Amino acid sequence: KDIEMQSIFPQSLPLLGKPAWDVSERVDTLTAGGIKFDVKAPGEIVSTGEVWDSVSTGAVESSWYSIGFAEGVVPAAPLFTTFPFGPDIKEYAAWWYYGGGQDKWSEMTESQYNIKTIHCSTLVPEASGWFRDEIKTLDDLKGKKMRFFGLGASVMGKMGVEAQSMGLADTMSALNTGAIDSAELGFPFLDNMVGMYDHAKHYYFPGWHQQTSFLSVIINLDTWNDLSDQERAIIETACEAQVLKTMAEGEAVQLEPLAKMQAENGVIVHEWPAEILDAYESAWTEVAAEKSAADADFKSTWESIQTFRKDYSEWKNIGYLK
Amino acid sequence: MHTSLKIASALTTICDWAARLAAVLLFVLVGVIMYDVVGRKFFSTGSFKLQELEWHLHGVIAVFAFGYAYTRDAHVRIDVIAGKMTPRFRLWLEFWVVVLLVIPFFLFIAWYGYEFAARAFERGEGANGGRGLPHRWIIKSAVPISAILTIAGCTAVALRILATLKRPDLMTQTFLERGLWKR
Amino acid sequence: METLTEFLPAIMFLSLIAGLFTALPVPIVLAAVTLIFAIIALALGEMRFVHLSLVPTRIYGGVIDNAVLVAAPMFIFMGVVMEKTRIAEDLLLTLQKLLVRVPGGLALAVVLMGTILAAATGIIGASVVMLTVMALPTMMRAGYSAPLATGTVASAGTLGILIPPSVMLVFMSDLLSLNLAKVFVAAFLPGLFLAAIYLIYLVTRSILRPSETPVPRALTTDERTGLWREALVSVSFPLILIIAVLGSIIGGFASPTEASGVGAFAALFLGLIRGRITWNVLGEATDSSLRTIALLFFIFATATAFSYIFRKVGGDDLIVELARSLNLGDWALLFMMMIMVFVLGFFFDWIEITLILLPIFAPIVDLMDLGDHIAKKDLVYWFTILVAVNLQTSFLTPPFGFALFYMKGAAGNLVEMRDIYRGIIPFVLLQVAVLFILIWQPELAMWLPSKVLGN
Ligand code: NA
Ligand code: NA
Repeated sequence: KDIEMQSIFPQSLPLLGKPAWDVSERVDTLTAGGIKFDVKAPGEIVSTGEVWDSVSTGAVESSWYSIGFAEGVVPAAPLFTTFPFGPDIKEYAAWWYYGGGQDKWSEMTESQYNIKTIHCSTLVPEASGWFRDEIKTLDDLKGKKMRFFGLGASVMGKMGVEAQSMGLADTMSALNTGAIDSAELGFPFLDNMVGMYDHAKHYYFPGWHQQTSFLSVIINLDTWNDLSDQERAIIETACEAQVLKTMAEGEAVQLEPLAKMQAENGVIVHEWPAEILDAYESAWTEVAAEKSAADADFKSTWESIQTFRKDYSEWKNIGYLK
Repeated sequence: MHTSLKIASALTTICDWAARLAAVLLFVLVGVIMYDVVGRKFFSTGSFKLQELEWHLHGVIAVFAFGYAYTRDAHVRIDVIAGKMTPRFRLWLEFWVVVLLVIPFFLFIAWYGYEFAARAFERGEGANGGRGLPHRWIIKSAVPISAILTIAGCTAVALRILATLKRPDLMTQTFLERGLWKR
Repeated sequence: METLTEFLPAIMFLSLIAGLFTALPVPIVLAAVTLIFAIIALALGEMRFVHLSLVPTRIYGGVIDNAVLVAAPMFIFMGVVMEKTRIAEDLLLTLQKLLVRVPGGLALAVVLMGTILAAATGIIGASVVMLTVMALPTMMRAGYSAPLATGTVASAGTLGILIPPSVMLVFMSDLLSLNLAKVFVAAFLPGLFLAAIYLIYLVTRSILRPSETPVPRALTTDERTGLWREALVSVSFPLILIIAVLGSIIGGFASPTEASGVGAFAALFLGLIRGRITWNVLGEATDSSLRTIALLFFIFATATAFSYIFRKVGGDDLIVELARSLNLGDWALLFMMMIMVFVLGFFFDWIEITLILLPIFAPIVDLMDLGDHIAKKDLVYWFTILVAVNLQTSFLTPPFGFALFYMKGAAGNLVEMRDIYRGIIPFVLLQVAVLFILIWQPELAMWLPSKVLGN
């Protein structure tokens, strides 16, 4: 059985795109050729913005996807894939698999959009961004022009930063020439790959806006229901295994490029001062409250996460060495 | 024949007005880009919504004049070997291709494009991150509207082709020469 | 039935070519062929009705919701304003007077003009239309042969996609996650080199076959006095445009896409200064811009439908299989990829080619190692420039070549498509030669970035 899969990342990007091709190969092997995901490069069938819509109609059978891209339609989507000051992988996985996260998402989307979602990869924390100038105080942030994506853009807005929306190539050029002051892109492995160090030197951590992220396979529900129990189990299991593998891979491959950028490209690594980080967090609390007021699903999801994290923190406190 | 020419003329008028709208939007787009560029550099004006507005305007400009351009025969033709065909044959060929294939093709686009925009409306689709422009159904409607305008242009051309073939006394020029702003 | 399915992509392809030669408008042919094969694919069960719904989705996602393409209408508008306010014409007339004694002077003026315009615009439509409207009638009146005149105009107008800024380079950089500044700088010398080759070729051809490029009468003393002053004025206006466009990028005011709007604004502003903006001029400028924009995007919209159905009937598998099945060494692979880009260039537009091929090529190039010939870190940039030069021929190769379409659209009945096709051949050959030189001497592309941007 051939299942068309529109990837939103290219095969050439490890951790982001390559896992799509990896999991399709794995499923092919496990089903002895029974299921072949025919993975398509970004934009080949439909552009990233239209993937959710196309999978929901069944015009595209499945996608290698980050459900955060469905935010325009499902405002709560970022809470299920990555959000500011979110949990680490253990805690996030605990909430998704056993804390009601997955069930909640299915409830919100399966029947309404006719889409089955399987988390299938995870990403390490992103860097907080590249700045042309060092940021020492909250005042330094005011009026800075920063390319930012998703919920973090609203947080930055509250900090007096002017969030920009630009394509990747435009972003790099604009950062290089100073048309913008800053941009957030990925984690060290990725940023090194695309040569962000050519455009700005001050590299900020931690990436409060995007701690752990999940990437997912989404499948049109009719396509999913046509599969046998065995085939569905195989796909789910392959994805669960890949979540673990990509977690390990992501952690392992950041150090070398980070050291290389510092040694060879003159990149200066900074940690956010506590004052600024706290300000980000309280801005995020405001944003979350606004989003909760605007959307009922966002509100109930946000409450579910908050409750889970509160309980979890007790276990974390006694269970783990500090 | 007079009636069908009147219909053709009415359809052409619709296409013309859509093209005039796009023409005006050219200036608006220049203005928005300049406001964004100058404002960002010197006055710290916000950019997020403006940058989205830029491609919204671009989208309308890009697809609203298909029908207009067809009534003026502005779409390119490869006439390398077509000289061997008689003018009447070429006109009949164009008539049937437009009526049997091209108009149905754009009916499909209009229908599915309508559903596409309607889904965006029903689902309340907005921008990612909630900071861009809301109401995606508006710009998504550009697709079915453009398809309908194209159908209008195609129908007008088809009717004028028919008139050229059947009543050469009424019609000598299949395609209009008149410019966008001329009456 | 089995065999029909197997040959369907090939049949679809041939139908398109046959259709294009019926002299129906190109997008009309694309729409018609697409519908026929969509029906066949539906009948054969190769696709379902729901798949048709992707055609509007692709038009929206590829043509409308596309931040990079915003530059296209803006550059076209800018070009048309330059034409209608006669800023461009002044430049051409002056260049022509300066080159009056050189064999083929008028053609050389066109190439120089194309090079200057290339640095101000990022899409070929603007400069091809401008050069066609201004230079083609002049050349024909001066007794230049139609193939030579059309070939010169089309290829000079196409320089704009290689010499930065360039929408195509932005698009490719986005697709491959490359450093755009480096791509721009790397494309600069190859672009100028190509222009120089055109000039040499035209001078040589004019000397060998003087009948094709008659020498106009000499300038009167009246015309000669003040020529340098006139030259200064007429060159300075386009120069200001270049400064506005490139300068707004380099100066940190605008992103490359936004620079197109700055250019359009500058063109309007300069026209105003020269006192040449009237309601009439604005009316004609918007009209002519919209016709060109519609010509371009009607083809994009129908071509995206065509290529989707083409994929559905198995067309892309055909191409991908071909790319993957050949087990070749790195050098052979490189040539193989170049040949594929070149061949597809006959039939598809650059957006479809880059969307189909670059994702397939990117992982191949990642693994490629050409040893001392080119440093590993530069390889993907060099490769991108090779693809860009190669794609530049796709604008010029019949039957499906955008530069030729724009030209025919702007020239009307002044020339026949046959002359255009014939005239373009030597220029395409020159481009292929430049492509080989670039493969042989990567420094031509990579030297400037290493000087300007360091490592
Ligand atoms: Na250019
Ligand atoms: Na071509």
